[in-house]
Amino acid sequence: MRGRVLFLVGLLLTAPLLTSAASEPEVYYFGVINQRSITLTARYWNPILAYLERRSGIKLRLKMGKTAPETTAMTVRGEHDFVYTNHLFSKERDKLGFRVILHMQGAPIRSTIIVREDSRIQRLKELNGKVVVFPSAEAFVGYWVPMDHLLKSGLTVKEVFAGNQEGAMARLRNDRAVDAAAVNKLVLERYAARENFRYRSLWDSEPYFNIPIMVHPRVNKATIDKVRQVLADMANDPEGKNILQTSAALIKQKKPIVFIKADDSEYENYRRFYRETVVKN
Amino acid sequence: MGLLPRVMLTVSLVMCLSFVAIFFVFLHDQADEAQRRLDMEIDSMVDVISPLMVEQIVIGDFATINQLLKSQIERNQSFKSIIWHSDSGTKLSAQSSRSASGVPWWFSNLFTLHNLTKNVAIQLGGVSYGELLIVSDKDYIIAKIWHRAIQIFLFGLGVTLLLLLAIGYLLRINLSKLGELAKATRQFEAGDYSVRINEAGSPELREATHAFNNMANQLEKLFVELEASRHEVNEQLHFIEELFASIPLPIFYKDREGIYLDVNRAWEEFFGVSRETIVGHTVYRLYEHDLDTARIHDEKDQELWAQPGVQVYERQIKTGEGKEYATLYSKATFTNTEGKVAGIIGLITDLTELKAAEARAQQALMEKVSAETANRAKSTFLANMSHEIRTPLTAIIGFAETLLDSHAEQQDRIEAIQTIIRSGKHLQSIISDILDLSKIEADRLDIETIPVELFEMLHDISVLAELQAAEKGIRFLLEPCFPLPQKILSDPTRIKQILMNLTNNAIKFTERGEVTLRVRYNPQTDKISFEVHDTGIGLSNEQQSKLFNPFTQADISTTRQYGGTGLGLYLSRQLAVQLGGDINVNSQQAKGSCFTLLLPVGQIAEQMFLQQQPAYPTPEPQVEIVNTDVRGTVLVAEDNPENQKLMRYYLSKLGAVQISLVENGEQAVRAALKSAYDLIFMDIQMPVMDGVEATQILRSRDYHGPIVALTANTMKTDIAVYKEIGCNDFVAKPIDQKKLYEVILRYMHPVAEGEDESAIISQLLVNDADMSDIVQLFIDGLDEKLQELREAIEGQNWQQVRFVAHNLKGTGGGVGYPMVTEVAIRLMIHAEQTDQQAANSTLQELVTLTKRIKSGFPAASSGVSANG
Repeated sequence: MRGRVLFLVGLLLTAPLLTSAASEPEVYYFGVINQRSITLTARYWNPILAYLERRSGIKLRLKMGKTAPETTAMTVRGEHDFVYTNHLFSKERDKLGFRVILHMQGAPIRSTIIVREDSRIQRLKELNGKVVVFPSAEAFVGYWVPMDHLLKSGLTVKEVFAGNQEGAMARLRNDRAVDAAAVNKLVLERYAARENFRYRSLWDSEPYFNIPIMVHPRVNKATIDKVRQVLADMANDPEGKNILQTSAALIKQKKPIVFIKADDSEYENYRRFYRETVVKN
Repeated sequence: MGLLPRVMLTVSLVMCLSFVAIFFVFLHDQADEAQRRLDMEIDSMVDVISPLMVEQIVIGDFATINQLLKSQIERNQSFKSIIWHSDSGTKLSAQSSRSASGVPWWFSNLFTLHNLTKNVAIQLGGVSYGELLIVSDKDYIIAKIWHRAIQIFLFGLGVTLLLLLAIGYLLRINLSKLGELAKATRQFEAGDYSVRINEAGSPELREATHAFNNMANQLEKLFVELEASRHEVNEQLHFIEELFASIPLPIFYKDREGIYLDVNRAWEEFFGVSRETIVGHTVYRLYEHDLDTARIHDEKDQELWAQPGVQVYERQIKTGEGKEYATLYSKATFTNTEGKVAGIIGLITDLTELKAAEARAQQALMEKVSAETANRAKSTFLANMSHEIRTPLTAIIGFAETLLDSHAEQQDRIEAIQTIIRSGKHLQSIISDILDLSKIEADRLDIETIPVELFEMLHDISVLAELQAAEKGIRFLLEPCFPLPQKILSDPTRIKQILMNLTNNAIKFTERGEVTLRVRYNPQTDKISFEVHDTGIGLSNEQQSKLFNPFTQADISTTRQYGGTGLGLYLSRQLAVQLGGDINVNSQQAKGSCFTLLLPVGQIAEQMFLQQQPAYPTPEPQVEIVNTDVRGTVLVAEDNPENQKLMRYYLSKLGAVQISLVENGEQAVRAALKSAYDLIFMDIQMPVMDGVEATQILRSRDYHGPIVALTANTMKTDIAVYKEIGCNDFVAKPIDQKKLYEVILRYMHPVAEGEDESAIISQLLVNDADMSDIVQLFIDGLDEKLQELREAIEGQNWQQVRFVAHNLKGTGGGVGYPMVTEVAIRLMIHAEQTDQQAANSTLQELVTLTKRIKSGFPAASSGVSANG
């Protein structure tokens, strides 16, 4: 009874949001694929979104699920106008029509399969039958790419999901039952530097551009352009640069955050991967 | 009301009031604290739920947010409601469903609390996520305070009761201890010094009881010591009283007014005054009979008051009973406990006996000084005697040595001999004086008491005195004051000795004028006085006082100037005293002296008194004994070699006398028993056997020949002894040649001139006949020796003369012919002097001597005496 009441209340609360998506809404929802805790993600993105609102008058409100699949599910359901994710390049999701407008400056991301530094496992093939932790089944470089390689290498592993990238790393570090982890190499390096985590890499994937900011097809072009321009110029504005440095510092990132304008062509290898992968969704 | 109820009531009242005040302060503090804590809870809750809510808002999970709010309401009972408003108008809330807590209305009215409402904005990363409205529950806070107040009240009440009980208990215990203390104090006051309190209870009480016990101990000890001190003081007082009373010296003490405070028994006995009579009175009461003495004591007291301390003075006093004492007053001031002079204590020492003893000691000291003076005089005398004896001895020895000089003129030789004789006689007189003195001191002086022709004796003295005076260029006068007794009964020798001494002194100390011997007779005293007047240097009174002391001259300079032993006058007075008389002197310096010998005349039958001086008797003609030859054998027993030589010399001058010499009585006995001698001279003191024993042995063995004692002991008693043991006569030492010849002539006969070729017997053969071979050998060699000497003298070979003479000197004496030795010595001297004439003369003596030796040898060897 109590659960039903709460559901109705929740429905009532979310109804205005859903209804406003057809016209020009006063608020756009910005989804962020779960890489870190929600609180840390909010502390990271909220100052950027507030800056965007102050500069453009366009209000973007952070919205995400508890886990990456939940967030992706929300995206798939159309609850996000803008989204910072790389989960939308599979054949099915590509159909949703999200387009790349920006990505962050920096080295492209790679998938990497690692073991603890003191592990007896020296080669990838020794992972056969072993427990491998992944951030989530939705994670591109955290699951699809490494799993595709494992499968194509003829290896079968026992899959374990930690929820996000750093969760998978923490699991490998602390849980002796886990033999290896498949994670985003860029995230791994930041995590290892921050947490002094020592590991050995058994395999690295080809490079992929970092997670892009994509926009739903329902958002009008002017809004997209304005958002695209403000964020692309943010690193050049003192206030914006300061906000970006603060957010980078939150996740121990030494390089400053710089948004660079991008388009779908730069993420073709993603789409190609999804076409050729042996991993089943 | 007792202390305990009063303290309890007061403490209860104070505690209740304090508790109420503290309670209400506490309540208000509790309210403030509750309010503050509520704020903190709200802040804390917001801090906790804000991120959770943000997360849920980002996710869009409002059900979870609602659930979160409800859970906070349930968890925090202080909150009445929590409401969240989103910026978009969404509102979620949670309400508390708790009911009222049953707090009484009056308690709620004590606080002015309201339901607190707090709005808190929720932001993250600069994005607002709405507001939280939190409403606090005032009733819940008050109820919480109420319950707390009840707990505190009950706790405080319990604590207060416990505190009161504890205080009551402690007070009760301590007050009971105070009661004990009070009781013990009363007991102590009542004299029970042994009471003590058990030291228990609180530290303060233990300290108080400990202090009491300490005080009691100290006081008890103090009382005991006080009692002991009091006893000791009583004992000391008693002892002092006893001491004061029993000290055998008179003691008194007075106050500052001079009033006697007490006197002891000795004082009472000393003055013959009772204590009751003098105590309370001054010294004027004691010396009523002698106010001068009282005044002096009073003045002495005043001096002591003026200068406190000790005062000592002597005073001759007279008691009321008339006893006189020489006293020593020793006084001292004494002080009271404040240190002020309070009186005088005095001690009287009786010096009467001490003074007498001191006088006796003084007398003894004077006598001792006198004795020491006498000793010093004796020492001086000895020094003088030494000088007096050495002087003639020096002359004798010196002139005797000159006689050995063969070159000396005959006149010089005669003068030398005369000097020797004179010095010898002087020496003899000195020794005689000394011997006389020693006899007097030993009370062994022989005094004759025979009738003495007065003028005969005076004539003898005058003859000598006139000669001495004439030699000095002054006159000697004899002035008899008639009538004078014809004879006196006395010792003429001693009278002469005295008068010769007096006249000699007078002549010696008179340079000009005369010396007069005045003789008087006093019929009243029947004494005759011989006054020797001179016009000499005279004597001072001091010199006169010491004149008759032994060994004393007028002064030391007199000795140096005039010589003399200082013995004459002393000896003269002693002799005079021995004769029953005395000598005194009357003299004036530079004018002269008068020495008077006073003697008793003595009872003489048919005494005649002369009115004029009788004619002097004619002296008897002197016999020249030296020229008389005597024949016979003489044995001389004498140990002293000098005396042997002297005897040989004297006897050899008698011509045909055969002399035998032995050294002790034993040899004398042996020689005399072997061959009888015409005469034996027996020295009394000899080694091995003395003369007395030898004489006794000879007489006991029927030896009838004459034996004459040679002795220096010529006292009557000694002579009597010698005669008693068998000596026929005696010759005094030193030997007077004349007297010796007189004795010899008594026992030996003179011979005609020309019969002097007597044989000489070897002394060696006298003592030991077995030595005749040696003597024979010596005699046989004599002619050869004579020839050698003769040739050597003729050839003036003096070295040969000395050699042969030396040989004879050694062998001659050794074989019993000492005369050969003597002649040989002379020959050696002549050889030394290269005197050929004297050597020939002496050689002739040796030739004669050789003949006599040869003639005597057969007789000696046959053991037959020459005078059988």
